[in-house]
Amino acid sequence: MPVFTSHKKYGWLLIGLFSWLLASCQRGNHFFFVQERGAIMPVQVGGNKTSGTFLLLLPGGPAGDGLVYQKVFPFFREELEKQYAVVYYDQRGAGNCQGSYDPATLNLDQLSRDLSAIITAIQEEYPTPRIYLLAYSYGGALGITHLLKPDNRKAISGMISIAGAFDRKEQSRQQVKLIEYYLNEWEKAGRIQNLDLIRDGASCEDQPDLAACRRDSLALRRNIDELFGEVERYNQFKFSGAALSRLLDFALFSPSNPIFSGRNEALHGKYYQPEFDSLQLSDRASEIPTPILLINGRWDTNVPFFTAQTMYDRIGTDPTQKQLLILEESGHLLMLTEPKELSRAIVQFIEGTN
Amino acid sequence: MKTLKLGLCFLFFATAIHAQVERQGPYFSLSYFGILGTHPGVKVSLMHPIFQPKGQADLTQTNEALAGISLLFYYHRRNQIGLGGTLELAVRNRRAEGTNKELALGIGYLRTFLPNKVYHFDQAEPLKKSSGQLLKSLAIGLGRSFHSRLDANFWMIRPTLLHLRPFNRGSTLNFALDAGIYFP
Repeated sequence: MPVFTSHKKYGWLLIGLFSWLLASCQRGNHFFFVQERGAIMPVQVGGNKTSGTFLLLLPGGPAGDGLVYQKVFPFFREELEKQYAVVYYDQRGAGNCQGSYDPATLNLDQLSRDLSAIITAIQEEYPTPRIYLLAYSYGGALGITHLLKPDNRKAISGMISIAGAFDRKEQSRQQVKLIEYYLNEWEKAGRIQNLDLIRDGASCEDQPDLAACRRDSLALRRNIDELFGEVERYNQFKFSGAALSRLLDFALFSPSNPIFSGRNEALHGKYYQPEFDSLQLSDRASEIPTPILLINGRWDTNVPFFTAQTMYDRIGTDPTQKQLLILEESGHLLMLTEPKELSRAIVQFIEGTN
Repeated sequence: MKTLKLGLCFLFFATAIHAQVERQGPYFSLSYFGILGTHPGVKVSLMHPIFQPKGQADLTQTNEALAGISLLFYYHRRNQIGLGGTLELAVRNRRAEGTNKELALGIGYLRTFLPNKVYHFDQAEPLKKSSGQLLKSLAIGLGRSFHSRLDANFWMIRPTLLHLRPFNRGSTLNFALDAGIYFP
């Protein structure tokens, strides 16, 4: 027979541990699920819900997590949630979305329908919310796709695009253009000289001093490599102690399970990618009259700032209701590099459109 | 006299070995079963020895194969509540000095429930607040006995890898930290 008597203290220890873990779970956020065409999407509403303004985060991707932003990017909690409510959710095929759904539903059109269902749920939970789409990277493609349908626009007060990827089809061409832009800017600023030495068709064989030419061109290449190293640093997630602590907090004490997230992205990213790679949404942007704030990092090599410029030029929004902001010290992770500037621009935009 | 002493010694050791090798009683265990370590749960198991290789047991250690059943429950707040049962097969090595090691495989059923309100606007589609999954598990356990005896109660920590199917459109893995007390 089992012997229970001599280890009661361990039983109490287990009960204590169990209670502590229950108590340590994240509280203060409003949480619910939305079921739509087989997918069960977790939705978390944090921040100042009494403001009546709800920023609905459309995460990067495709098939990227949404709930993770609240924990991993302090910008959301420390800057935005003080003023407004922020709505985070995991899309179908991403993060901790549950349910069972057809892979044929893994596209922007269905993501837009899901977004409508989430907006309806917010409208049921909160009286007369002013809803802004807060779109990051791939989320920009979803935001614009959603706004292309006139019925969808009725519930949206505005869109804020952070490094929105609207024209993925143009990405390679724009990246080449971006390299040219950086080289010219560095030359103008005197950070590199004799750019002609490495231009297409240039050859030291034509130069009077062959050895000097070769030495100079090598030095120039090294110099350019260093400068691109600086650019790269604007685009990298820095693993500091604080960042690691936030990641661990997300992995261990959040509603999400990072194993599920990783699995979802591996299973479903491939369904979204071909559609994403063929996008050229700025061609249809003139149909959209919604107020919009477009923000991009000058040093963003993933989504070059030309994308935001093109969208700004082509969108049908009244000029008084659209803004373009290029942040000079940022790459693709603007929430980490210039959170204050980002927050200031968003608050000004929202207050201006209210 | 010498023969009598040798005979008594033999009888003593044989009884001790017999007692260890042919122990018939089940092991009951009560465990903390935390998804990702921190989302709490409990697991109760009843494991019965089914095989003990002859000639491998001595006074200092015993090896045994066990089979049994486990019931588990976990609560991952705002993600899912899990309730399941598994059939487990395990091989366990116990040493009199106190070390215990185990390798276990399990197969069973897991029912997961959504722990929050679900908005559901398409009335043509049924509301789905729970789903069932085939659960497979692999655990490696390491622990210590509370006393330096082979029949003493012991604790064991078993990091457990779970395989769940279906998960969305395929299968997924999950991790649980199983830390329990075992009562032979």
